[in-house]
Amino acid sequence: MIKSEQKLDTEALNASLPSLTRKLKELQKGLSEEEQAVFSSIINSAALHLESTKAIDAAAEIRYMKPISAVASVTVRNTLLKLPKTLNLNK
Amino acid sequence: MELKDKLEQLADTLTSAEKACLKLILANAVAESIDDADLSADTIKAKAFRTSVVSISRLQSHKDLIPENGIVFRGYPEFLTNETLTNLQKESKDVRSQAIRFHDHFVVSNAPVAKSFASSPELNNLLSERIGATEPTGKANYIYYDEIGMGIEPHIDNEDFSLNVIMMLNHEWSDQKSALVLFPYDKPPVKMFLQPGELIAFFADSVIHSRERISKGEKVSIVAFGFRPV
Repeated sequence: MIKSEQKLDTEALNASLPSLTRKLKELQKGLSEEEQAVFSSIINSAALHLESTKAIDAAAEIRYMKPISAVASVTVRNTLLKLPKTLNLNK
Repeated sequence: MELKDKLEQLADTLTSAEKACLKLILANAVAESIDDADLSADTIKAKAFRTSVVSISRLQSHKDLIPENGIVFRGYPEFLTNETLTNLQKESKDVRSQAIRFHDHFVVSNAPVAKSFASSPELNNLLSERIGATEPTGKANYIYYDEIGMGIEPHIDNEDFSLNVIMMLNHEWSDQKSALVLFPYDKPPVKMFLQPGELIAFFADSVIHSRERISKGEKVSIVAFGFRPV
């Protein structure tokens, strides 16, 4: 059964970012050196990709719109762009 | 325990919204790496790619229902009559002017004919006969890729389209035609060229997928119906 704890709108996504960031920081503490490198690659790749799709989004109405979660709100985008720095993983 | 296992453990502690954001991170990481030459290599980048792909599907509560390639059905369902297909194609054309641009494609949600087909028992049975009980989410979207460069990046869908049932309505092209591409874990990407009336149902919240970029003289219109396992 799929449990929907909250309505997944833009506000819910934006509000979840600080706690997700905290949990990712906690996760990092338990990673081996190689896992840390893989994790860093994931976080940095995500930020790089979001940066590269900025031009496409400039023409779009950026918002969290079901069904597609390829991109979310401006706040989510900006938070994910800064995530490498927030998690001390910037290359 | 590997990173993918630790991410799965982390997922158990996340709210739906946190999980959605984590999926965004993983999907974007995959999209960034997807064109790299050797993703089966023993490099950190290749490991990051594989970890991201497998972790996305593991984030789902219904992960045990997901076939290896994510596909539940592909073909021409017996219950789809020419009349229904024609009605969907007509409605898709009629409402095109109301479409809203999202990212790099256009969408019209919940037009009457599409919404009615989305809730048909036959469509639900097609899925439930294969993976157990399912239900429509009530979402039905006409999607248009009808300008050069339109398409959609590798991504995953949210819970309204856990099971995404996509029907091709129209595909015109001159030199080159774009594909729907699925990226199953640990396997090469699979390109699919659906014909009008052909339908594919797959776990879109778990398997990364994309629409290749539209080329000159090409137009694609599809309709997508949302379902979920129960």
